[in-house]
Amino acid sequence: MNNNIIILPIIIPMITAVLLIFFNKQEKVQKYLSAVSSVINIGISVFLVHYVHTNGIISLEVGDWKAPFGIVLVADMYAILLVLTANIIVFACLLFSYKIVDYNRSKFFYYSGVMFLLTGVSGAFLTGDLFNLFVFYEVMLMSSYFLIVHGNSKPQLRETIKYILVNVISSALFVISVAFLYAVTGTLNMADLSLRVAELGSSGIIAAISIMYLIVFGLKEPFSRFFSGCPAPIRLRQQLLRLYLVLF
Amino acid sequence: MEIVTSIVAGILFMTATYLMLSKSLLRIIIGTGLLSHGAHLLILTMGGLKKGTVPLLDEHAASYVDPLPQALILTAIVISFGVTAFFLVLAYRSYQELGTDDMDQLRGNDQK
Repeated sequence: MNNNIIILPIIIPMITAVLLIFFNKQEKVQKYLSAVSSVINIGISVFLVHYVHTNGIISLEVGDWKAPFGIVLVADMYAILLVLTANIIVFACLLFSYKIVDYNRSKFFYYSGVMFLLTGVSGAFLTGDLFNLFVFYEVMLMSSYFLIVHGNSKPQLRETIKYILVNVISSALFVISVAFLYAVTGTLNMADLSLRVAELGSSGIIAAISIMYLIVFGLKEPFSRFFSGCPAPIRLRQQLLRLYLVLF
Repeated sequence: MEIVTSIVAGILFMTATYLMLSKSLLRIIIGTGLLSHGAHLLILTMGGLKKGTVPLLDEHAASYVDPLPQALILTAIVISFGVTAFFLVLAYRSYQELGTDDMDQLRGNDQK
């Protein structure tokens, strides 16, 4: 079997989101399409959990660029379980939002926003490349901005400004710490990174970069908790933990 | 040359911090733009400037410039462009709704 199946939990919500943009006026189509796609996603995630359980860690070199240079997607047990959790939570959120999201909201791409959010979360869990993690983080953040401000009431507009500002600052810090880590180790692949960092030992610069990452995720995480007025599927502490496991 | 670009990046960060601490929403947005510019310049500096020729195999040079930081910067520019566009539209909408762009009045202490 081909390892290409790893990319499915990322690409199915993305395609669904794009399709849902075209059907924004038909509420029924939106509901059924998002539910069907979510169920398919859960099925694929369960299959992947089973596959990783029997065959061990699987990885995909995207575009066949070899590992330390290209971007890899890695599905180990931890990541794929988190993807499964995210998918189940999104499915539950969808069922809930069928009740509370009326036509006035759903015609402004509410379900597309949820699906793009799922794309970002699954991608952030499955990626094995630090900069790609940043990209998926931004995909997730963009849709979370959208979902938080969705509805256009005064408090939403007022609080979203602060939420975006905090996240823009922490994203800039994220880029900066990626740059520092690249300058020190010369790689962005997470598996390669753990080897290089282990070679460097506990030098001061690694500690400084780790503190940068601590600031980045420490800024992002509490605020996404405080301001989440939307069905934000999953908290990112797991991702933070995963990054720490790579770094130390 | 690396020292000069580092100093320029530092000046950009400084200006961005100053602008983001101001009250006007538009200045804050300009500050976030400058902050991301500083970050991009920092990535370029971290990759090392002009260590060889362009990274093409036909050049047959002893050393090549690392192309990865430029790819990272390109991606980061696109992302920060998108976020800035979203932020500008949001600022415009909230100015329409709330009638102010003063962050002091956007505190949200009053539960309205």
